[in-house]
Amino acid sequence: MARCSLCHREGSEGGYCGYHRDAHANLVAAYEAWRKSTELSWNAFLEEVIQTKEVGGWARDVAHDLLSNDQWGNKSSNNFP
Amino acid sequence: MTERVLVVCEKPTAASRVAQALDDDGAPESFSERGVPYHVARRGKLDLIVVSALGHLFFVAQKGGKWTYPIFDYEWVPSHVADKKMARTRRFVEVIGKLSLGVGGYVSACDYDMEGSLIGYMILRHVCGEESVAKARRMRFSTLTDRDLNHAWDEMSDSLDFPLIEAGRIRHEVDWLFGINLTRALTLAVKNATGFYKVLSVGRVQGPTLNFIKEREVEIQTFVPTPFWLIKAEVRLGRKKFALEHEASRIHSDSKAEKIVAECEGKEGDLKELETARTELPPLPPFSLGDLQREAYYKLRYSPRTTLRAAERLYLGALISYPRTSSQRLPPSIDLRRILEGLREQKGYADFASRLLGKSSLRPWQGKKDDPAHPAIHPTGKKPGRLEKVDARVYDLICRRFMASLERSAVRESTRATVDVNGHVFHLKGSRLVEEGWTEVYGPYFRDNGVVLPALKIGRKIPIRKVEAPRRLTRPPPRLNPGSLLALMEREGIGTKATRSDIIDTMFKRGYVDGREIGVTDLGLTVVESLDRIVPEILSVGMTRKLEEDIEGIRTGETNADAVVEEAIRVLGPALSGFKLNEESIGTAINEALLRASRKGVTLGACPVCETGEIQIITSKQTGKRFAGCTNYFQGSCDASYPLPQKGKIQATGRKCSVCGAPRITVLRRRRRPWDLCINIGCPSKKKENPADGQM
Repeated sequence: MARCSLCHREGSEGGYCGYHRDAHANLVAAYEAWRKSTELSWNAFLEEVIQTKEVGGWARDVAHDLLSNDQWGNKSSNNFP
Repeated sequence: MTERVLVVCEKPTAASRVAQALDDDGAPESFSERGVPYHVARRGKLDLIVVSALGHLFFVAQKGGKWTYPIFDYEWVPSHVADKKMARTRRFVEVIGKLSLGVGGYVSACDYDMEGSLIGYMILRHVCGEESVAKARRMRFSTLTDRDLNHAWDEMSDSLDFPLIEAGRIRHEVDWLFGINLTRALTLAVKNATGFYKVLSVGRVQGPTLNFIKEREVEIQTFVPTPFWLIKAEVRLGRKKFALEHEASRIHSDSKAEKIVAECEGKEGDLKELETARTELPPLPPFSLGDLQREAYYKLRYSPRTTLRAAERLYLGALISYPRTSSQRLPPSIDLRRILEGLREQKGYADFASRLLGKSSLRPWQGKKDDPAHPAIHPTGKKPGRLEKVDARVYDLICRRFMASLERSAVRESTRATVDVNGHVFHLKGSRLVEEGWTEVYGPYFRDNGVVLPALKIGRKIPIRKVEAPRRLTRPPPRLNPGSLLALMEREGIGTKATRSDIIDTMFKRGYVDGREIGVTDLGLTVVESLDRIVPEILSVGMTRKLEEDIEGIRTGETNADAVVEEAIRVLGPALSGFKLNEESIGTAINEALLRASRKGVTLGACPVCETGEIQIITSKQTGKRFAGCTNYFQGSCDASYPLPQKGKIQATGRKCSVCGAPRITVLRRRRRPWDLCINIGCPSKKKENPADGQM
């Protein structure tokens, strides 16, 4: 059975386990609210998320992963899924 | 000729009190045989032999067979047979058996609840013989005062309370079936898959409780906040500063927030409306056990278990009524005046008690919850001697709550001024207690956070000193703490008032949860995931709640006891078969979690010297002392090492020292504040740290 690329938990689909998939979905949903209120780009949002203490550990893991996998690593890029 | 009657109590302290109360002269003869105390009290023509148990003297145990599962054959056996740690109880069984010879009558004077009734019944049935059960009578009391015990003797029932006993018996049997089978299934899954042995328990109530904590943890760990802005204005009224709140509690765009700030800055507010309202704050009802445990956690920071233990000691000292009660009500049969007269003689309560005694009638504020067996927890009025600190504080909380429930309501006056600032509406809010009522007696445990406003008039111009729009983020739900978890269990109807605190404690002991704000550990998460995959019913609140209802049905005579056990076996059978089939994958997953937990327990952080290794706690084979060293030492690439305090539990903080970069740790020691320090003994920050504690 495939394992999560972040926590090695079994039962992964598309690279993430159930918890990290939920965290990813929450990131996408929250970005809508952030974009409307601050006009941040997706990558700048992820940078912000990593530094915010209210963000859950699994959500932060996903944000790190998305940023490190962004080939441009550019704050203003908007590789919003 | 005098008749001998055997009186069975639950604990030695209770037996001593019962003997003293029932003896005509208040001076029973006390004996001890092989370390088992008993008393002989004379009451009229009767010789009362008052003996005690040590809690349960009989347990459910497996009937033959090996340490495996599923196990559905069981029997009741003496506790010293079921559990070697209970060896002391053997002497109690034997001495009670000897004292029961030639006795003409039997009385159960155990605590009046399901457990107490079962304890008395099992002793009579298995030690004194079947015929004693038919002859036995039952004393029912809520306090261990002489008055209540004599009343309980005079009014005792002609037979034991069999429905309550049956309900208790079935609860023990069902809990044993779930506990033994699931614990063995988990433990053997790890052992058979990896050869590693560690007891991993789970029970009928522990499963859903752990699941609550896990669900909350998932919410927290996957949480992503969203921003909002608050508009805060500051005004000065007289010499004091006050905060004005914008009518929109949250602004969801930074540009809009900035616009409001720009439009209000330096402007003058116009007081347009002034609303004042008075609200009555009724007294709080007297404590049920759950209420007491929650209040003691929030106000005194005592764990539910600490509070329960203190309340039990106070009960055995005849200072308070029986604490294992769900009731928030004081029935008319309780002599409130007599209790207050007793409290009037106690330091700190004299004024409040005298004031209440001056009232023509005393009517306690009653809560909604009731308990057929016992009233709400209340003091007896007996003056305590010297109490331990914990007991004294819990006693004070109970006394004040009892008196507060007899007081009149408090009255709060709230004021809301509406201020127009350049077309934007702000509110200025204040409140104050105009009548203290019950809050005066409950003073140390009541905090009034109201802001008292000066006199205001409509039309007053108020200059705005400062306006700002700080950004805030939405917050994840809070972690459960022992108090809120207890409340959640109570609300969901799982566990009993007597067992909930022990269930919470067991989860900590097993390493499934940790922290004052309770979080699920990696091991706890893996256990829940395994159960969810194979036996989701075990995590279901519905199933355990249904069982609680069935047990209550046995007590009221509506449910057949054997059917409840059969239903438990019907649920467990297929679930355990599923476990067997998936033993290897469950065992491997749990073992991985155990290894991660073990690594986490010794890893203090990254090595500041080589920056590739980890600093771990190592115990020297030569000296047995512990120190911290880099994992790269074994590869010969790093020899960083640090001495560690030899006493106390060391916890990693996940933080680096801002001065030298070495990991910071917390040392937890009994009855001392947690000690946060950098592990590098040569770190310049050491000069600022606690040198008195610095013995490594």
